[in-house]
Amino acid sequence: MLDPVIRTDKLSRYFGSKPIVRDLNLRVPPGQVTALLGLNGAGKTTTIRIVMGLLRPTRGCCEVLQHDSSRLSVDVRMKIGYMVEGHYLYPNMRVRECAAFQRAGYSCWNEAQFDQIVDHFGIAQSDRIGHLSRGQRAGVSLALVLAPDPELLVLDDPALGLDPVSRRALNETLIEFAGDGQRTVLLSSHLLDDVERIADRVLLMIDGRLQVNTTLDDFRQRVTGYALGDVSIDPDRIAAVPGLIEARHLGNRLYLTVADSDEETAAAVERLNASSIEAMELPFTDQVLAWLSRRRGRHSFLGRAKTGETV
Amino acid sequence: MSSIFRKELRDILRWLPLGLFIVGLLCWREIPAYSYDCSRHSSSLAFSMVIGSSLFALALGLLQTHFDLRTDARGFLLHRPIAVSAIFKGKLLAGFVVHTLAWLIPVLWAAIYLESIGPEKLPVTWTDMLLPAVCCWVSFLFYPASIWMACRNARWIGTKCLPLALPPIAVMCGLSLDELSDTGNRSQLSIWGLILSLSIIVLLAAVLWKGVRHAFVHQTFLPSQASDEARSWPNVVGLTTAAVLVTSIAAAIPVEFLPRTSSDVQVIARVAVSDGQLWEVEETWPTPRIWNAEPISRRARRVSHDEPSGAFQTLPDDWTEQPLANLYQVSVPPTASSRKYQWFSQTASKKNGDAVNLFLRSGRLYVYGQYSGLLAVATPQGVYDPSETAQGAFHGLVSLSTAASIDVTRSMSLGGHRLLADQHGIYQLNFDAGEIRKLSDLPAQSLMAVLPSDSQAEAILLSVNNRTLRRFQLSPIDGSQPLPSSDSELVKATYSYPLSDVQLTNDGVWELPDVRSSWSDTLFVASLPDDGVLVVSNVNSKWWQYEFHDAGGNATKSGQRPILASTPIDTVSFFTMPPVLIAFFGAISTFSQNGHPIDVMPARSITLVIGHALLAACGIVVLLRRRVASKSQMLSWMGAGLCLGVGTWLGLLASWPGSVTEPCTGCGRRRRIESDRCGHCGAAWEPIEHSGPHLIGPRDLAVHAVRN
Repeated sequence: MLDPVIRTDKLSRYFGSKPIVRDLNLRVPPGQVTALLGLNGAGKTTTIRIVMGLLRPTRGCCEVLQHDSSRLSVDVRMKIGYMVEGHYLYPNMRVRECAAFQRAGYSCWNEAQFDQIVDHFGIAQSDRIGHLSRGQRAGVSLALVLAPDPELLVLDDPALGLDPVSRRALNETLIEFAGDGQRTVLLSSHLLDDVERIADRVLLMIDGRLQVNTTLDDFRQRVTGYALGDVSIDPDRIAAVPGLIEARHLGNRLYLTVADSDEETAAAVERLNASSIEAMELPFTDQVLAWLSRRRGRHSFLGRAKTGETV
Repeated sequence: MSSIFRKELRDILRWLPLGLFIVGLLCWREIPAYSYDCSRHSSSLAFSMVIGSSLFALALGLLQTHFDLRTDARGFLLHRPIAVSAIFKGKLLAGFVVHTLAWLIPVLWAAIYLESIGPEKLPVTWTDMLLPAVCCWVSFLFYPASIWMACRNARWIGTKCLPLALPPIAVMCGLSLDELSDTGNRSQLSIWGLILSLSIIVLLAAVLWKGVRHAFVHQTFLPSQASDEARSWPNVVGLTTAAVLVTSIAAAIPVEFLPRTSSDVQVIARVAVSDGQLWEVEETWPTPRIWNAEPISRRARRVSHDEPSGAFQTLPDDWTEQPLANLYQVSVPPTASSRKYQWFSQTASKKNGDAVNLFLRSGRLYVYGQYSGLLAVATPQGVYDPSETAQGAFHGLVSLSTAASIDVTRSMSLGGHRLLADQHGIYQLNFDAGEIRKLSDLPAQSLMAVLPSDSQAEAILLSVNNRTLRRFQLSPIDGSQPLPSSDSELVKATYSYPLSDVQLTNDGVWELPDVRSSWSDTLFVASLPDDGVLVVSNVNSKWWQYEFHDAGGNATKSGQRPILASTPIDTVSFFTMPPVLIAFFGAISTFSQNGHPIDVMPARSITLVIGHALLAACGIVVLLRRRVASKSQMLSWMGAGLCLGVGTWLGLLASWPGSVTEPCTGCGRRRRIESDRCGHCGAAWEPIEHSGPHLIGPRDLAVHAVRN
């Protein structure tokens, strides 16, 4: 079995006395696109910053390409492409100056690929970064991280603020980049449709802890749902359903999302005395949202909506 | 590194006009307009420009660092195949270039301007800008200090700003270089001062370099504050030095502003001569002392060769004092300074309508009008028009600008035609007549005149060359009438005596004991009724000596006396200083006591210093209890506390923040979050309980799948 590209053991990070990442045991296998999901403040960016060696862990260890992330050498850093959150670039530089600045230190720099990606996003080499749209800036960022042909690509919310066309261009670029199975991608995102399209694995963080770490296919198979009609709400009985992720009351129906549903789960659902029980296959977006909603509680910002209730 | 350097340079070059404006404006303000401004213009230029360049360096460091400390900008900058230390060096180099341009351009402009207007208009050259250049260069230390401050993790703005306390020390040392180099060849102490100043600048630069490098390369990665990575020796040394400095000054300010009761007077101890007898006088003056104020009280005791000193007694009203001529020891004129034109003296000129200023360069006196350019060049051969080629030069020129008078507590300005002396004789310069007269062929290193008064008819000129003291009778050149009395109402009102053309008559020669040392720049000489002289000088910092000489040049009696402290030692202010400094100076004073009757370290001071040291050490112990310090760390910090005082507390708090702890599941006591094992029971961290379901690994390969 190949060594994981990223490995963390009992990784924890505090800010002051507040733990942000807790006991994270993570393995990112090579040659796959791994998506890191979670709510704002779940610890995704903190984890990525530790992986990139930009933040020291409070305790535990983190290895990237078999090297301690706290002491990444220049050679190791050369093999990693990192797109920071918000596609930060120096606004007073022109695109070609940005490329010249970025290529310093890299032994390999694919100028043709850089030009191709920049062209794909409709950007001229003479454009000033400060005058580019957010999507175009994302394009330049992507071109900068892909031009050195990295072994590992780490993207922190790459589609943030992008229009649909730019998002599609970004996704297509990533699929093409990781398509040969030689390169590894770790990306964090809130855009579940994009994740479903490009990711091989799913990592889901809640409150600094890793709740899901599996392949996309496995995740989709193991998270299922039930729709129950005319059911009386008994929170204790609902909570007793094995593997329950979320229960939502919508209209006169109760929707349950469960993990690893089996006969025991089906029996527990039967005991809720619903007029009808319907097993459902959930779309990926709803599967993930079920996990995330456990953390957030009420669905409506107003808090008085009758549209749903979380158990 | 070059790409980083270019990027950083490009980023901060936009601030260059701001720096040019600040430094240039301050430089322009201090450019001398009149010849009198040229006496200390190099120092005033340095002082003004260094304020501007320091502010610019500070702002530059903050501006260059602030934007790069944002999470996204920092990630973009640091994640590249370039070592972090190289990124730091590129940043520092770019800052150095921009800062240097900001002060170098005004300095070069000023140097060209000064060179172009001098010496016809003003006694200035381009070398006058060397001191400002050195000081501005030193002020660059504000730049790494501000980066250090920005990169430091600190919970309180006060400790975050601590690095900024270090550069002002270096800048002050830079400014002192002018003073020290001016007098560098006169005193061994000044040479040591010069070496000390340069050493402090180099040391502070090294500490700042190491400290800011550590802050940028390590602390920006936000390691746990209590971890070893968050500290380094330059970090600890730099912050503790700054903390001790800030604490000492902060504590001294309230002490200085405490309302004073008993010490609102100043007690002056000095020697005096009356009726051929030597006296020790103790005067009490009000504080602040106004120039024409009278002492509150005056007591004295006679110094006798045969008897021990008695107690001070109030003097009778008719007790009159004889003027003591102060002969300053001058070896050679100051030449170590970068300034080519040395301010020499000022003299009156009726022809010019105002005073003229004399500047010395290469042994020649350049005479400038107060509001006009070069008027003449004076040498022993004569006074030349600027258009003429001057001949000859002075060697070791000194001037007599003050005179001893009946009011012994104040010096009297000597106006009129200036008396000069060098290794080839004594001269009088009459600028209005355009002549310089040689009064004597005897060499002199220092001069002093005793003016005629109602009680003393004769005017006397004293000169010293090596160990030879000469006395001359000073009389008008025409000899028709004596020099006017210094007791006239006009002289007493203005404290200035107009000296006319005079001639000298030899009146006596004495060989002095070889007592002059670094402690004794001044000889006090008094003429005695028997035509002899009394010579008083300091032996060292503790003792002075006297020697009576008769008219034949023989020493008749001599002795040594302890120097009485002029002002009482304020023991309370001792408490604010680092105990090791007080102990050091106290030990030096005690070892050089030699039976001196004044106790330099009174018991109260010793108690305060020891109490301060113990208090600091105890505080360190309390602070270290939260920091899980090793035995060697505990001992080191306690030693620092004992030596440096309570300022060490701030240094410890700044360089070693307290650990964040959580309760241990093994023993229940608080344990540090960054340690893998409990420091008390050795337990590892318990795995965190999962809340809710979680999926780990594909089902067919699942390690486990926990259900809630």
